[in-house]
Amino acid sequence: MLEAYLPIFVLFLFALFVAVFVISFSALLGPQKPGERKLKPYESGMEPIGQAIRRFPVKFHVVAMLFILFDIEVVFFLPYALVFRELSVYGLAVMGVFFLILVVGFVYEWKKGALQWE
Amino acid sequence: MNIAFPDINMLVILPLIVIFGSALALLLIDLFFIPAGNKKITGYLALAGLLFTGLAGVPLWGMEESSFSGMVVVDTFALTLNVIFIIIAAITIIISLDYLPRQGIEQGEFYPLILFATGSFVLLAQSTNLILIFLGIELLSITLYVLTGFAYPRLSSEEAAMKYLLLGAFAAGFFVYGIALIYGETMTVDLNQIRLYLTELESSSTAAVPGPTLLLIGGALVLIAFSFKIALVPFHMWTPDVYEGAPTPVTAFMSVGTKGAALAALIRIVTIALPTVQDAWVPVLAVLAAATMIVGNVGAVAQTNVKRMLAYSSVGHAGYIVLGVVAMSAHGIEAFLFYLLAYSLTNLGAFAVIIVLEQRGESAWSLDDFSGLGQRQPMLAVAMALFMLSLAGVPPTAGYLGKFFVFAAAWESGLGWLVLIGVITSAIAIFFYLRIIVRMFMHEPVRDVQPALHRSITWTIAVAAGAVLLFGFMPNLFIDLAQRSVIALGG
Amino acid sequence: MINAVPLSAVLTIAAALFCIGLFGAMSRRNAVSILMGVELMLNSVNINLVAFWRYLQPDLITGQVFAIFVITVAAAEAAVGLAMVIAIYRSRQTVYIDTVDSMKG
Repeated sequence: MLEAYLPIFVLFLFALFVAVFVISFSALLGPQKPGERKLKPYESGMEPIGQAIRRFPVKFHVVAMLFILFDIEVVFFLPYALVFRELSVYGLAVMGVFFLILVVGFVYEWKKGALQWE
Repeated sequence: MNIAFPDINMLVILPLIVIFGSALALLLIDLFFIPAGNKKITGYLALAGLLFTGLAGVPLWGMEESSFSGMVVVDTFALTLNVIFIIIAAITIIISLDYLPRQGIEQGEFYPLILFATGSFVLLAQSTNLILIFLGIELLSITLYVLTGFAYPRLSSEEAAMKYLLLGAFAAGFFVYGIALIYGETMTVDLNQIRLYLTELESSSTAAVPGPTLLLIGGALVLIAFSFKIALVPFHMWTPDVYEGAPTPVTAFMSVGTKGAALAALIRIVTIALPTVQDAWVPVLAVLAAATMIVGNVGAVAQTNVKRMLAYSSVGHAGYIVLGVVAMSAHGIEAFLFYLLAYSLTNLGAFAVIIVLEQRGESAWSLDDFSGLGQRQPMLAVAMALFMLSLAGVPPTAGYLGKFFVFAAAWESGLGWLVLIGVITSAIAIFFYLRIIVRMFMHEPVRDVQPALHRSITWTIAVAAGAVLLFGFMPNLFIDLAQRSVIALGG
Repeated sequence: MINAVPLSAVLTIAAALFCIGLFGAMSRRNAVSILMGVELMLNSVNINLVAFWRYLQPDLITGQVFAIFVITVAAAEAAVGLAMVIAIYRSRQTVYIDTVDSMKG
């Protein structure tokens, strides 16, 4: 039974090897000119010192929520895409209705100003 | 890949199409055409949508058909329930028309949300497939979470919505886990095929084949989830808080509609899919019903807040309605339908009276506000007294007959002990219902409450009171309908 | 390949995840954590559904379709839940549900 996990184990070993190899090689061969900015922890350009949990505008939340909703609704298109030829016109009509319902939601959020940033 | 198309008969889902179509249309109409401050128009349009849904049921009358590979069914049971649900939704909308602006929470979305919730009731009454039932329950719950929090930013409303959501989501987890286990055992989510599987299992049953263990565990989890939705003890903890915090029309809507719809789905599940394993679930449900009747009615005794008292009383009534299901007989289903109708009219009427007394800034839910109502507003007090008597089950009201029917059905099915508990708890219940009547007629007014009697709500209370009396004297008006539904269920 | 991992193993994992979610939902005070627990419960069900489909009934897609519905419903529920958390935070400056408890009795 455990043999089945062999590929995963090999992958794990390979990943470990690559990681160790790349880091040690660049440390050995690369030029090293440390400076203040370079020694700071890498934070994608953000200031690395400060509270880990920072407040950010609630606007982000609204957009994220709306994105997730529509993102998830699109899941239903996936199975449809698989059988879309076989279902032909009927499938198209049904998905049209589904899409219409999504559009109602979209029009609603637009008109309510949920997409307005300022 | 070849796909075998199932038979599709759009007529079967006509009520669903109409109600969801009108809900979506109403959402857009409200958004584009109805000016703020004039949202009553949306309410009237919602009533029109309900009317169309009712009319959509007319051509289907007497039809007995399932479609979409057995996922949806239309029969007299579903159509009768649809009528009850439409009545519930219509009364809710009418009593909200003046309440919302008075409370300063008038938003056009209220009415489409009520329509969506009613649509989910219809869906629950019509579906014979566990996936659809799950969707119906979730649609119902999610719209109700929003409706419960509709009095935002009133703190108690927010709090109620949060509690309802957390516990509801929790129950949803149990529900899907249960369905997954049932699916694992039977390899189907279709109620009829689950029944076929079980009968086959029974006929081939030997010591070598174990019983449907997974199915029973799954069934238990599903039952827990339903108990949450119907508020059966011990899964009722959320009920008093949520019912108190929600805007009063929403409380009225929830206390009757949710219970009716969830029980309708439960009836479909147990009568279609699980009759062969009756021994497993009937005792459980009977004990739940007994506990519900006791806790609901005893809990109500201690309340001085009328809205909260009605919340406990609605917990108790859930127990009585479940008696009709536990009986597992034709009479039981009839009794369920009649009780649902009687209880809906009575409870909506009682909440309408509370709405009339409720004023902005001051929640007129304390018993004091009812003191001396008999002197100030005799008609209103008489109506409230009638509703209280009907809830208590005093003849000649519809509530009395409803109780009588469920007790009779349970007695016939050999559940004498349950009937005994029912009768005792009804006696307890008379105490706290009578307390309000005594307050209204025999006490002096404590503080001055100006009832907000608008024409629409006055008429609603009058009609509800009239109907409670009418069905109390002439139950046959509805019983014939209920009987035909039972034949449709094959029960 | 499919025989390597028995169905019972997958079901055990799903049940364990469900229990972890259940524990999280019951023991946490933070409303967001409770929602996360519930989400874990729902997703463990998805594992169950997909496993039943793959092991027992690979020709029909009932299990898969149901899993998709569960995902969608979970998203809708989370959206409403988080919106409510924000509303409560705005008025009370807290997301701890045991402090959000004004009604008793």
